[in-house]
Amino acid sequence: MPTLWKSIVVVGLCAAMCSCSDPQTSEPATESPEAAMRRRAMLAALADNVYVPTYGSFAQHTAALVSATDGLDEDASGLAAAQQAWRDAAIVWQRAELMSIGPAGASEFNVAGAGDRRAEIYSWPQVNRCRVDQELVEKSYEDLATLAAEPINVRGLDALEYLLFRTDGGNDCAANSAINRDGAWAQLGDDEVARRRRAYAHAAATLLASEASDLHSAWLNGFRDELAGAGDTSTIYPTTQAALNEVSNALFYLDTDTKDMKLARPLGLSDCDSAACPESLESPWSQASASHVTANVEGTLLVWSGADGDGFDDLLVEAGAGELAADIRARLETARDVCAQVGTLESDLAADPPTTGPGRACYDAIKNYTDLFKTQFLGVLDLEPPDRADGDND
Amino acid sequence: MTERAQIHPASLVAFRVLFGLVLLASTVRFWANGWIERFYLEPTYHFTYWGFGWVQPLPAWGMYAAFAALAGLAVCITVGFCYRAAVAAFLVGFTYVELIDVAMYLNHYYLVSLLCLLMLFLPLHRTGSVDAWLRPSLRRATAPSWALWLLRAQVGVVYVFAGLAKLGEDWLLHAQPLNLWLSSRVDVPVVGPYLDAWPVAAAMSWGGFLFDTTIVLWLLWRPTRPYAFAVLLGFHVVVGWLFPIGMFPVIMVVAATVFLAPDWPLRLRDALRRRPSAPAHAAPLSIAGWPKAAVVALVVLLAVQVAMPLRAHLLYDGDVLWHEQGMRWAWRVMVREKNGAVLYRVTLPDGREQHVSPTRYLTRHQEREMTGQPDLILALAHHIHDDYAGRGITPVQVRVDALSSLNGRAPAHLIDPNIDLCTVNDGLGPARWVMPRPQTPPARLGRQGDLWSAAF
Repeated sequence: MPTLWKSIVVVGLCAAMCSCSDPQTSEPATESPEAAMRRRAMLAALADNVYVPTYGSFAQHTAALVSATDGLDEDASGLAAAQQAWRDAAIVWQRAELMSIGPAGASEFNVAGAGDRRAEIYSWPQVNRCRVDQELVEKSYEDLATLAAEPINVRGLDALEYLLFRTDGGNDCAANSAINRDGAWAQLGDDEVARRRRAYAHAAATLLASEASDLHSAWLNGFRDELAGAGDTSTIYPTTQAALNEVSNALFYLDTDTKDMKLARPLGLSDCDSAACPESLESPWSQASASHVTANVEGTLLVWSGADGDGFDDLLVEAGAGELAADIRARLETARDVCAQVGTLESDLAADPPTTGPGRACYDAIKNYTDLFKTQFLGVLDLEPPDRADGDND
Repeated sequence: MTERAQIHPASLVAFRVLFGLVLLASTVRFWANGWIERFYLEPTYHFTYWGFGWVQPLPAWGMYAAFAALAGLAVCITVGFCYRAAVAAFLVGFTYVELIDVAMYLNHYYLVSLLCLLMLFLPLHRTGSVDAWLRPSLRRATAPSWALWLLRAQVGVVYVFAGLAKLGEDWLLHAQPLNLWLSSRVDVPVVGPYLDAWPVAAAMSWGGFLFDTTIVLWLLWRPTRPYAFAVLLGFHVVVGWLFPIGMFPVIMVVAATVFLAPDWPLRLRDALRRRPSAPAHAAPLSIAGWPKAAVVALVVLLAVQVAMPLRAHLLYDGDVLWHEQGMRWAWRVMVREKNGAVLYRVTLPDGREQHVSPTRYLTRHQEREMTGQPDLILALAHHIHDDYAGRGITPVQVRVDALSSLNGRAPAHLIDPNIDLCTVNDGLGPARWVMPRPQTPPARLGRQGDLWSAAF
């Protein structure tokens, strides 16, 4: 055989061997290269020190919320305790918002191994308080199975906030909506509305606790090992890079949701036709919008630092990008501290103009971090932004 | 034409068939991956090329019909049926699709259009084709050597300028962006454990540079040709294996077959049948017997192809990887990793400032491409201005916070954040509104030291 064809055959065989072990399409690699093991160790540490404890804590807090709302319909004296239980659970969940991978991830955003469980816990920004009022009139909360079949925005954390914190006898529906037009709401009276809200809250808390427990179990019984086994035993993540990219994708929440929606909109910086848009606040009834923003930053810090265990910062330091790791951490800690100074966004919006107050400082501090995250961080670890179509490149 | 200017047609026929199959596979792949929807139908705004703003996507049925037609035309090219009409229609259709959105620009798509343009004038259908079978008067036992040399010139230009594009400090001194990319591929079987070593990236950077700049010479020199083609095959397999560049390696391998002996398909057949081959036919370089039109075509082709990459250095100061003037149509293949964060600041008539995220207008893919390319950032600024004007909010000023990280550097402003981009028009002159590239060196990741100690 001439030299040309001998050479081509040899290279072709090598090519065939290579293509048979394409990391994107084949069975997980059985190799355990040192750097990949190091990344798997970091992912395992993240699961053990951040994700599982956070979901475990949320499950505990939602169980406490169930207890706090138990019997509340007959005895309103425990309302303040129930409100506090909601605040405690919501803060943990706001940290978990930065962890929407696997079971909590959304299939509509092409999250690998998506379980869509986030959508069963918190529906923001798809809130619909009028719908909650309608369910209250219909008393659908009296049967848990019926309530569970309703959309999440009548039984999740946001619905619970409305039920526990709204104390007047009004509703959120337009005057021409059915419950107002036919007088069904007016017939209830303030006391009955309050009693039903408390009863409804207990039913919703019960469903929420069940979802929280299921989410925690999903991590303990399988997904933790999927993440820790990325590129090795995992059937979801063919490479450690794919798993890191999913973890990184979830961190975009601070940019797209926290900064652009929770802050920019109410502060009148975007999608707002007036000087401020308080109707865009995330948690207006509990006045917890600002503390939720801070909790989002804390959640980012948790994932970033691995709860001071093994996290992205350690990975960067070992790769030789220690300066970047320190810079990101400093910006995140600054953002956390600045946002913690806000108090409530409601009072901030009352300032004139609102774009110069502590809320704006919080927005700027978060942007200072997200700018670095979306540029140098993604570049150094060769990560892609979320939901980018898998087009070609060259 | 002299007999000396004639060659065996097998190589050209093989190129037509293989290239047609690549076009077919690319078109089908686009459809199968859902990219027609994602890249052409989902976006509500498209970045258009200067002078081609009138090129817009068809409705959904039209785009799918266009791709179905392209697939059919690729089959016609492959089998040589209505060859010239098929090539012409494919060229128009494919170029139309590429002109819809600048965010979809890829060097190898540009190469496909150029090769189709050349094929339009090359007699690649006079043997081994349905056309020749149906029309005996078309048949020729030989092909003009200029046809092969025009293809060689085009493919050669791609390799040489892809190599020269690597002639910079980031690639040769800092091994970037290969160091960044390889460090993230530590899961790759067998070689993965070595890919996070910086010296490995440095060795591969130099290897890539030397390969691209010299491979054409080794392919043209008969004694080294077999080894060079084997190296070329291995190079593209490895690159295609390591990086998500789709059909690019396949296109380049198919294109590189034009450097083989004109009768290589027959020799391959003989080798597979274990029959001795006759001495290889050569493709004489002498242009003595070429028609004047072919000579002119070769000269124009080379002049344009040389001028396009050089414009970045002749017309513009600074680093083309940063300001991107002269980046397209210049074979600057895989030479930069750029990540950006862009936020538009719109000053309303009442003096209030609004922040506009690109995601309001762009898909994630478009945004990813836009954040590193100043002319696209400018185009979206103008679109935002027009959008506000369309809603009766006028006059507005549009500024941008466009931070960009090139090859792992700390992010810096890509565009002057104080300039109202509504007052800036894109053009061929140097873009003074683009900030200078930061002088800091790019990132350096992974294990250091010499190649041996780092790798082992």
